Amino acid sequence: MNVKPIIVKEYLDSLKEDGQLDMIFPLLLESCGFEILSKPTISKGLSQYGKDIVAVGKDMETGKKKRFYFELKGGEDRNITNYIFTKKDGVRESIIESKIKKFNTTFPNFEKLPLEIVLVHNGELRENTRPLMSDFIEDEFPKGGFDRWDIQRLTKYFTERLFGVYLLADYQSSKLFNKTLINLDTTDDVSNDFNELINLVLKQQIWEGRLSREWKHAFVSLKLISFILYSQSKEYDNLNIAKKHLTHLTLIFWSWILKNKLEENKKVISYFDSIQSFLFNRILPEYIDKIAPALVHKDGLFWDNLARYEEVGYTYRTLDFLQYFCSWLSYHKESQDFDEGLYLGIFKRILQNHEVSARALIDINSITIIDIINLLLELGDTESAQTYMSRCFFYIKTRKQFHDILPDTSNSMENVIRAVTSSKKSIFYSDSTSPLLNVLLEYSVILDMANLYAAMRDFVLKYKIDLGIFVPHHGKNSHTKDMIEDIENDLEEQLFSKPVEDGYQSGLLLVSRGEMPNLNTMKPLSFKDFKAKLGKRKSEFEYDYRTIKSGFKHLLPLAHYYFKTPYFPDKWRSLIE
Amino acid sequence: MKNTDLKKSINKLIDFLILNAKNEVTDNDLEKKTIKTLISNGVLSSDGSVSKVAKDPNKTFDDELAKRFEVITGKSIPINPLEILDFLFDLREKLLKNRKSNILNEYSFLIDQFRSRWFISLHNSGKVNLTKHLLETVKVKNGKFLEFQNLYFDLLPHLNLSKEELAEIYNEFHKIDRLSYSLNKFTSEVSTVNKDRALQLLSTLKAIKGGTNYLGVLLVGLYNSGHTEAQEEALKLAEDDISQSIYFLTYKNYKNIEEIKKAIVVVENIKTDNIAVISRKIEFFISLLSQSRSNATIRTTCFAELMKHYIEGTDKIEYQIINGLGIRIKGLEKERTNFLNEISAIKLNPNFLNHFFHNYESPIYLFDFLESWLVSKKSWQSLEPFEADIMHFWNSNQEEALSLILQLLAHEKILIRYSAIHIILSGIQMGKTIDILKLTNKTDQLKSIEAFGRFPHSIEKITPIFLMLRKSKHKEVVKYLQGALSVLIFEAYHSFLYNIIVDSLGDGVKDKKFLEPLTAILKEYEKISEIKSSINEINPFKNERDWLNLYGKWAHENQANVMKDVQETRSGIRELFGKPITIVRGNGFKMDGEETVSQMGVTEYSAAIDIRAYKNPELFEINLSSNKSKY
Repeated sequence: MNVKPIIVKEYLDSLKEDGQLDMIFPLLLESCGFEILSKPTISKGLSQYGKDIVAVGKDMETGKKKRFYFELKGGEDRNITNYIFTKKDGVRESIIESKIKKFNTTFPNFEKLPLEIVLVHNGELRENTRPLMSDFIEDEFPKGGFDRWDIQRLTKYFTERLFGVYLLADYQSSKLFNKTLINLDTTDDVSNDFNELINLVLKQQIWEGRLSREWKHAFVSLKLISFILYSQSKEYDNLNIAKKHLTHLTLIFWSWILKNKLEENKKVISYFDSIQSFLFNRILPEYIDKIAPALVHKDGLFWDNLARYEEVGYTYRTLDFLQYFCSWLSYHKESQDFDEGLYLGIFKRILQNHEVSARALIDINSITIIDIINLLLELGDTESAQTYMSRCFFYIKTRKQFHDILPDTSNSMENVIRAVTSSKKSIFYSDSTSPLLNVLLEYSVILDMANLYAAMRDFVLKYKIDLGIFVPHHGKNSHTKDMIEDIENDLEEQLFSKPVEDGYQSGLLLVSRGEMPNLNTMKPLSFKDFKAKLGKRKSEFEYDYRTIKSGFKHLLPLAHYYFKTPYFPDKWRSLIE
Repeated sequence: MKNTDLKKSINKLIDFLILNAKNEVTDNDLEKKTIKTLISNGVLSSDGSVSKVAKDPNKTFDDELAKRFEVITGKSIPINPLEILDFLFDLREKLLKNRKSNILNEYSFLIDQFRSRWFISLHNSGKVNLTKHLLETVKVKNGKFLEFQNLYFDLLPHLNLSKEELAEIYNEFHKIDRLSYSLNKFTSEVSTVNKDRALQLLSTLKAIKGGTNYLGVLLVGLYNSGHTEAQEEALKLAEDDISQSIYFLTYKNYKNIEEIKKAIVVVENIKTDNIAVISRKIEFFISLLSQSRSNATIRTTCFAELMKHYIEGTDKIEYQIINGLGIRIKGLEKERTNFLNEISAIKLNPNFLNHFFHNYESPIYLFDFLESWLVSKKSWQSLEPFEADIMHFWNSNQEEALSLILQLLAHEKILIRYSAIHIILSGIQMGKTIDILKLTNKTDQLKSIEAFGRFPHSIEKITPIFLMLRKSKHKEVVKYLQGALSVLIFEAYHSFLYNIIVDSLGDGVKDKKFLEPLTAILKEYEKISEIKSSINEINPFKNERDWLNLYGKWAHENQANVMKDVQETRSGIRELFGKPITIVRGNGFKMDGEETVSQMGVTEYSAAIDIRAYKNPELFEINLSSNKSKY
């Protein structure tokens, strides 16, 4: 049994919102060789009189070249009833307007091509509306020039021209795609099936230096996957699904580009850009908007009636949200219409409403903490950054004092949950060393917080906490390049595809080492001496990122966060004066 | 007189005693002639118009009594001691049944005295060796054996024993834990019962290994029963075992203050690092504090010595001193409290204070100490060690105790106010309540509400008490109470608390008015909650299933571990509790060999939790341990 049409029909049927059809339909046209002159995303909101998509291409049935005006009706309008047909801005009105108004373009001989107006709707024409519709078409298009693509036609075209060619091209990809869709709402993380699917699309052929038809198919497939995941997330009313999957897809796609040294290939980058842009310009803003009603309240992200789980869950949720919020804000900050004052206010309010935003549970929470501090600094609010820093230290100190616990350096939420449930740390819980505290100590120099430095130093010495941060072997001035184990992948290729392990732990002592080896005579390091010490370390790791050079700087935090690789020291040491 | 006449008289007496379950006869009960016969033959001893069975009656009486008992039971009296006890048990049952009585000890005067004489007779006549029998059956752990064991030591002063036998008793019995206590008790009491046996024991104990351990006890008994030479013996013991000498000085009866002074000099001059000897010295000084002949100077010396040992001592010594001062002494309330205040400034494990104030008459000392102790602490302290004593005063001196609790509730330090709420809660558990409106001062009322608003648990129990403040004559108090309740409803307990409040209020206009802002805040919370619950992106059930499952699994495992710990902790005293049985499925259980199925009781424990503790545990704990207060 050929299940492809069934899968495709179910998918198309699930596009319940207007915008979802808008997004996927142009992909079909692109794959059919149409040249799109105007997309819905461009024209929506502007008065285009029904022409949702204007394109030039060959008629799907006759093969004759035509100019097409596609009028899309999705969402509540997808099933054409008498009401939908006759209402204001309904089918009838849209078709008439589409027919009347001209479309200005420089496309050669556009006006000379025969016109075909196509009503596209992912539903059905109700039987009692059919006579009304027929009469109208006969009156308005006595010589032809009108067509209607309903769910059946769309299923046929999408199956034959899009899904069949790309995603559902073979048994393996069909299986992985189906399993991904089925399990979307049942797993918390991105499934192995999805990972395999993306790898299958990107790695089943070798890049041979040119954008072949097969590679175009592959890149369109990734776009298609993005749109489908998005629409399915909407179906589940949970944009977290799209957020996670698109993060994965974007990072893996970028790692593939880096691996093949294609970051300067404009054609390939344009495919990648449409995907990363979809994440940052569509999914994340919608995700943030959706959560916004909760964020305006104190402890808005706290989930009631879950009792003690929320000791962990609430903090985890808050930091996860803030990570994406910071990523999005950093990206959005570069746009021209960015209102710095407005967003700083929003950002500060979110932090104030969620006191746990400064409460690290695992050491890798340092990524979010660093992003928050950096963003506050970039938005010009040093005082808030200092306050936030102090709060971070307050939680580290208080948890140690009350519960003898520091953020877990094995970065395992399992360990944290176990510690909460049993009130004691498992043997796997590791907190004798604290990279996070090391980072905060260095930030005390950046933010010129001598008192906080002294408090942190005394705390570290009192509890005999080891300090150290991760430094990759790949730095410009590195003397340890011979220790690199993964020689197949450079630092960024590793960063965007897996947790980076190729590096060393750079220790930090907060005592004067002058009188070594007699430990008893060692003195706590003064703020001034610590500053001097840090100044010498500024160049310990420096690196020229291809990602930054390509204009995708905003992807770096997501890569660190997603693969749990702590920030490299250049992230904050570049701020040391 | 013919023996048959005596036997007849005895049987008439036995008839009367059994029929009436009385241990005495008057001239109205039996013929005068019979009574006269019985008195003249040593069966009865007369005390005016009333006569009782003599302490050591004519042997014919016991013989006749034995025959009667055999008739009643239909059995012969056995020779085995444990079987004799069984026989006597059956006899008692039959006698009570015949008399249709439920009073278990109604015939004790007759049976128990007969039993003692019968056993002594058996042993002294050589028919049974009770000592040997005790050693043979010591491993049996049934009720009859324990009865026999206790009886044996009661009889021991009267049993014919050679010096060797006596030595064997000490050599063997002191190795057995369950007998050593009885042995010690016998050693202590033998002098008053049988001085000759005590003197025989003295020479025996001196000669056997380990015997010195009992010498102090024996010598105290001898000395206190008039054998003054015992003191010299006791002081001589110092060369071999100084602790026995101290024991003697601790428990001998002092005749005058000079004797006490001399004893103090002796004990003070004993320099030692031996913990056991130090412990004896502490026992000595504590004992002197309760001596009626001690004066203020002596008591000062005793407290000073105890202080010295407390400062230098281990946990065990600290506990001994605190426990001794608390449990063993009556009176000296001021002096004991002063001592406690002094040591608490140096070192004090509050868990040692359990029942310290139990012998006090006035609660003021407890509350004064509690206040100064709590003030000295920087964080909230558990009052568990004081709970029993607080309840003691709440029962015995309610008015004064409640007044002192209210003082704590309005204390300037909020941490102490929490403690007062803790005390109130303990009272609630015991069915007590407190009228908070007796705090009349406005600021005091505000202080108490502030503490209530931050108290972390048992909101369902304390809310009705604090709600009484809605009737305060101070408007500011009522408004502040509404504010505190609003915060608790919005941030911590939601409808759970609101419903408690509704249930506690009446239908009056004032109460309805009082409820209005609380209803509004609940609606506000529910509105926000509804908004939040509609956002799937922040719903843990949609996005954090893995963590939730892990949490559920480990929370369950942790609970099982706690239960296991409880069961294992019990194992040492399992004899008392029995072995725990796990009911795998069902709501009842039936023991093997039993007919009835016992229904399982449902044990439930629930308590409302302040949700703020989960939102931000560290901040919550910091706030709770902070003394920052608005008032």
